[in-house]
Amino acid sequence: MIRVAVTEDEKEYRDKLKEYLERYGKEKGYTNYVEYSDCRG
Amino acid sequence: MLNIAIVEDEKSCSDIIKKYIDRFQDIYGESFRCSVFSNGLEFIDEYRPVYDIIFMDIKMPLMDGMETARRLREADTETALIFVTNMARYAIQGYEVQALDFILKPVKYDEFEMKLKKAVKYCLGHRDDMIAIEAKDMICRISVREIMYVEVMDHSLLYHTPDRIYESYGQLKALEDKLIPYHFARCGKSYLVNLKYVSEVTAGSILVGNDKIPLSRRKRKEFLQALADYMGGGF
Repeated sequence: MIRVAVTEDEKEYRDKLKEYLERYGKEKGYTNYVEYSDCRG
Repeated sequence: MLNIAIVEDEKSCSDIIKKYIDRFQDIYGESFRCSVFSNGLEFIDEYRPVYDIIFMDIKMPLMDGMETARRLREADTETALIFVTNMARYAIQGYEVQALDFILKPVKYDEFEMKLKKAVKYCLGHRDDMIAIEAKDMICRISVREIMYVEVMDHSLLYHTPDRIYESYGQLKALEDKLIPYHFARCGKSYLVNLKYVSEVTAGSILVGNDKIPLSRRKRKEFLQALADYMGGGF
């Protein structure tokens, strides 16, 4: 499991992380994908 | 060229091992440099992590092979260790010191060849992942995969691994250049993090193993980019 909180203006990283985790996450040993929560970076 | 150490008190046995190593070189075209030590104490006393493969007897005067191996692992977690012994019951305890294998005496060439092949394969697979750390009282060799993060503290670098912390002198910038290809990223002025150990990123910190590390505002986007590249990139 990896948990990453991103802000609205970091949306591009959120989308990338989401896509990669869904595609490669299991192979890299993650059992779950990113959780999103709005935070002020 | 691979460096081999033979730690053996019986000269007849170390001679046989050397002869078998020469035979292996002739057959497979590998190149080895051999050093022989007649007991554990002599070997470990001024140990430097330069050996790729170590053949170690267990029953030796002054310091036995198992104790020597324990002390060896404090300085070198990666070298391929093979016990050569007639004490099978002790050899199977080799897992305690991450021994790669053991060979029973009297040593036969066929078995020796098989174990040396295994060790060579192990070494060639791990070679590029090693880093030498000049700690205060010794030089240690560890795999970069073991490093969770490196922290700067009072002009020292602290290498945090799952088992222990290694302290050395050095500059984080120089280390960063070396470790970037292994998926490390800066999360602030004083920290270099192995991305594979990151389990949480919040507004101002990241979780690496059980340690919470500050994530600077300035480095945040760069860090997220590196994390995304790691997720989507090579292993």
